[in-house]
Amino acid sequence: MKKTLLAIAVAMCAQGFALESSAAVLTFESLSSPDDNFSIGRTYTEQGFILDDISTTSAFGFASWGTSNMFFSGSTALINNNDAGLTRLSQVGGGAFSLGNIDLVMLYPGFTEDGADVTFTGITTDNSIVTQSFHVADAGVQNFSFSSNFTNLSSVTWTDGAMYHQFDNINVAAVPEPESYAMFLAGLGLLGFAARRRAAK
Amino acid sequence: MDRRAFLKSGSLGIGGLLLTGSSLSALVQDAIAASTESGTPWKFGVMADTQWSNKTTDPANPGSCAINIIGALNQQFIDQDVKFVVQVGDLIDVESWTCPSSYSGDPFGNAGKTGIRTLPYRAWAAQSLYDAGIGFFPVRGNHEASKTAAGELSTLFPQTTGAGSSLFGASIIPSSNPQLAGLSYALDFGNVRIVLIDQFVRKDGTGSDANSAVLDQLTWIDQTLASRPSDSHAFVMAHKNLVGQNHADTLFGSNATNNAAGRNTFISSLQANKVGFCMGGHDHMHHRSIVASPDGTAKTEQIICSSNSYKFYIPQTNPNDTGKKESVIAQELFTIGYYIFTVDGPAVTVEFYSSSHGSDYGDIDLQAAPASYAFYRRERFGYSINGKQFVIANDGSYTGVQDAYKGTTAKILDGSNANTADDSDYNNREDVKTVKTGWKEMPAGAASAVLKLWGLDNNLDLWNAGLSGQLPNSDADYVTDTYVLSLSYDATLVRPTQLGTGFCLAAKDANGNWVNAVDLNEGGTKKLVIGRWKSGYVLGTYGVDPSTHTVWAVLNRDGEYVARSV
Repeated sequence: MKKTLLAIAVAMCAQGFALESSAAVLTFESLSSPDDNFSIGRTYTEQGFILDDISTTSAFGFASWGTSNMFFSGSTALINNNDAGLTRLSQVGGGAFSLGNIDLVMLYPGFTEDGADVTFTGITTDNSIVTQSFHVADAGVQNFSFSSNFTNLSSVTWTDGAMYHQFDNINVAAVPEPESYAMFLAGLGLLGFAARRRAAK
Repeated sequence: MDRRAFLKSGSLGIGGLLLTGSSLSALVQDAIAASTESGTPWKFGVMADTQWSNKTTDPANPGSCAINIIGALNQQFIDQDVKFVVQVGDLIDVESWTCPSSYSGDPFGNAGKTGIRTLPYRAWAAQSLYDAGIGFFPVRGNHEASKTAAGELSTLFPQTTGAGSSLFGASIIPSSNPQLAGLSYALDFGNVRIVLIDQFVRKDGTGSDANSAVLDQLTWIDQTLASRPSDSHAFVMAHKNLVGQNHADTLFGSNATNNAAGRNTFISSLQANKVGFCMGGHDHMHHRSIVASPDGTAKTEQIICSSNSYKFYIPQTNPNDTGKKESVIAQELFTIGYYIFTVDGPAVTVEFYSSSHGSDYGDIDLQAAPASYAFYRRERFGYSINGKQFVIANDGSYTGVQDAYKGTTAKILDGSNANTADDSDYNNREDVKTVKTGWKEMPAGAASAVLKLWGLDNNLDLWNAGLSGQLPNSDADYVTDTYVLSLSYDATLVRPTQLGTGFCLAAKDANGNWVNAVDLNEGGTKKLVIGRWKSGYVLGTYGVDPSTHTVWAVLNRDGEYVARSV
């Protein structure tokens, strides 16, 4: 009985701790291909996160430059392959997350003198809206960090706007739900209870 | 499908052999109609004055008719696969002739005979066209202006009345005046109506004043033009012109200002009825201009047709355009030429071909036909029923050129008419450029409608008799002023990954293939930009601007354009 209680407590703590620390980088490297370019479809899932092409003007889905393409940035990146393409990032099955930073590069690096502005719009779990814009210069891969407002997000969307870009290495972290914190605390409580009982004996 | 193609196809060939002539003719006409309705481009030809003056020692050109030149032109028309040919008057030099006894090979066996009517020689010379299934439709000139000739024309060329076996798919609308039957008439073929106007003595002897003979036909002309289907082309052809260059006499009188009211009515009708060109002969030179009505409210484009005769006129030193109603576009003197009209649905492209007269460049009265002919394409111009026209003077900007069709917008973003004072006609009147647009439906695989663009290329000016050698000796170069053309595209049809990998402003090359438009430039450096056009981009720069959904390119050619991947 004593061993069972201890195991439950440890498991509850581990579960809570695991959610607290589930940071991930979406690299798309599993898609890497020597092809010139290739289509991916309208959804893509990696490490518990899902990217949806929710464009309304057309439905060509996502694409990527293959490693042989002259516009390949050196790392497999994703392209929303629609004019005014709209991309949505969320967790599989829902759940809050925070957005740390992202790599952006022009779709045609070296050929787009004016670069592009990309605006990210996040919806938080309390339904408030946060936005942040980045100017992507016509250079190589550029890393952009999000403000601290980009946490407790239920989804983030961004559009191609006037110019097109590739995106890569999205640094995300799932934010534990309140139940997860409760489970963690309960686990800690159980561990404390078990320790007190052992000390009392 | 013409008769040759019809028979070649074999689909009805065996059956056709079992049909009577009239049944076969009907089938051929149906086939032609089906062909033209389906939008297949087709051609017709135009030629002019075929007088010949050496009547005594040149058996190759009997009957005062330029038989040798006609033969050369007929072969050109056959090779070009035209459906019919129109001649704008002066079929012969004199109506009556004495055939020298030495002309033993005279086609009618007239050697030694006097008082021979000569129009039959012109009719005889058209036979090779008929044999090729090509119609021939003449209108009279002042060299066959008599009452006798009026009676002869419809006998020798019964197709002008809708009779005979040489219509080859054409149909005829007769003049409202029975005395002009077969003389003034309208010719319908496919989506084209050509109104031919006779201004000479009629069958009953009336109409003897060539200076006013057109006036009582103005109502019929207007009604005939207006009654055609709205999606069809119209051309008006006569022998005399609106403003002559050598001859002072015109379609409306002895000079370019006579009968102002009639001119106003006529030119207004041509403009209102969207007549493509008003064509004549009489002056034996290639000359293209815009002519305004005396009251300045309407304009039409005039083409004076090149010589097919022994003689080549020089413009008057003091232009006949005393009213300053003419804006010159192009001029070529002292050459033998003809015109090919290619009808492609709503668009018509005209090509002017000419050959040296066989001697050193300049004015000459030929005593014998040229030993050979070398025809060069000297000008290419056109228009479309669904397009616009922009007249651009020297130094004028092209940036006003803008047109739209079914969601596609074309604009010239930069460029100007870089002509100099040297770009002028014989009288040093500076040429204008007539930029014209037209449209075709979006083809499969494209993301825009097809833009047709004419008139930015260099004006044709060949008139300096001081030049030497046999001219012309080359095609026109078709190089235009450098300009920037943009064309919008439907972004929902294009993946962003296509934009930098072949999607561009595409142009149709000489083989009918779509290629990157800048690949057809003369010179320049090919360079891609993703983004908007900016001032300073050099010839050959091309781009796609996702922010405006346009493709653009810095060009020095005009032609046919579409937004698509190549």
